Amino acid sequence: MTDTATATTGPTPDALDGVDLETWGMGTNNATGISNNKLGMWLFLGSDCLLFGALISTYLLLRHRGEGLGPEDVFDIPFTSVSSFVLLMSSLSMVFAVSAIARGDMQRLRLWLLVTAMLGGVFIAGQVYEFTAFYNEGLGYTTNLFSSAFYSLTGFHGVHVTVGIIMLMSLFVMSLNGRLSRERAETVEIVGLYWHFVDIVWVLIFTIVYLIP
Amino acid sequence: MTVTHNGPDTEYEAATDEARHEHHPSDAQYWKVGAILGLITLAEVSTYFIADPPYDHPLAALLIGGLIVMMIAKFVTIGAYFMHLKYDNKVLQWVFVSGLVLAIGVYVVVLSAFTFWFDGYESSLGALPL
Repeated sequence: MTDTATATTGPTPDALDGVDLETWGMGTNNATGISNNKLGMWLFLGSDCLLFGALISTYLLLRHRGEGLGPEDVFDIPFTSVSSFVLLMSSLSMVFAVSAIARGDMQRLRLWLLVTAMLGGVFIAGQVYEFTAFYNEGLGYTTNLFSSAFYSLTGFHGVHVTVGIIMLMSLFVMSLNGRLSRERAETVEIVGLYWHFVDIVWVLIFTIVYLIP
Repeated sequence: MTVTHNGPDTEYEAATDEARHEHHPSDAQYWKVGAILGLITLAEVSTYFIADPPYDHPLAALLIGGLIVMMIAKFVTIGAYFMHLKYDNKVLQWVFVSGLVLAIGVYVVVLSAFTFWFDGYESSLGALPL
């Protein structure tokens, strides 16, 4: 064991005394001084930019291809605006959750985690309603190139949001079981990074897909 | 290599906590940022009521340009404040921004290959099946 190997970015729980931190992945990248977990999440988010870049550019190329219904025929901007606002507010509540655990306020953490998950759920419900309405108007997944590109893009985003909700609820359960503490605030922060990324992607999708047809 | 933690270091903990709190906005500041983001969203949605679709309006360039500027403003604000990029290690900024720049660069090239930026780009896509 070397002196540099014991460097961490913050306090470590007493329960981890004598435990191999590297094995637990809680070590620090000594070249950068950053937590490995946080760096890993940022790397993932950087790569996820490429996924959504592909989906958005494919949509841009195909949105006016094919016959039948197009974006101007089906989009309900006021409805989608409300959905967008809901997702934006969920980002705000997530930030409060991270702030709460940094203070060690577990009650507020649980409250804000639930609020974030609920707002995410409302967003997904809005997406499901929207997709159902489009389908009933005759825009199925294979109707034309626009529909395939649109459903692929927004569907992938919806899956990301759903995975985020599952992570939030997992954190909620962990906090109830006493497995989250102020010393493990980074765990909540990392889930928060994922959630904010999902919101950022929707900011792009809402503007490019809905507002600039 | 085994890395072990040999018990809490009170001084280190206190210093780290202080440093951490110094670099995190307060809840009041988060509310302000949230309000700003809400107002920008309101401004974006208002363009729908001004012109739908925006490119049919005499001020199309201004409307679409404004939408893009607002989109970028929201993107940067969420990244800087909510994702703490403004307060975190610069390496994290580079990691995210490099992925973003790579994605934008690659797909600008893809769109350019299909002459997306010019009228009649659909012909470059060829006879794609419906």
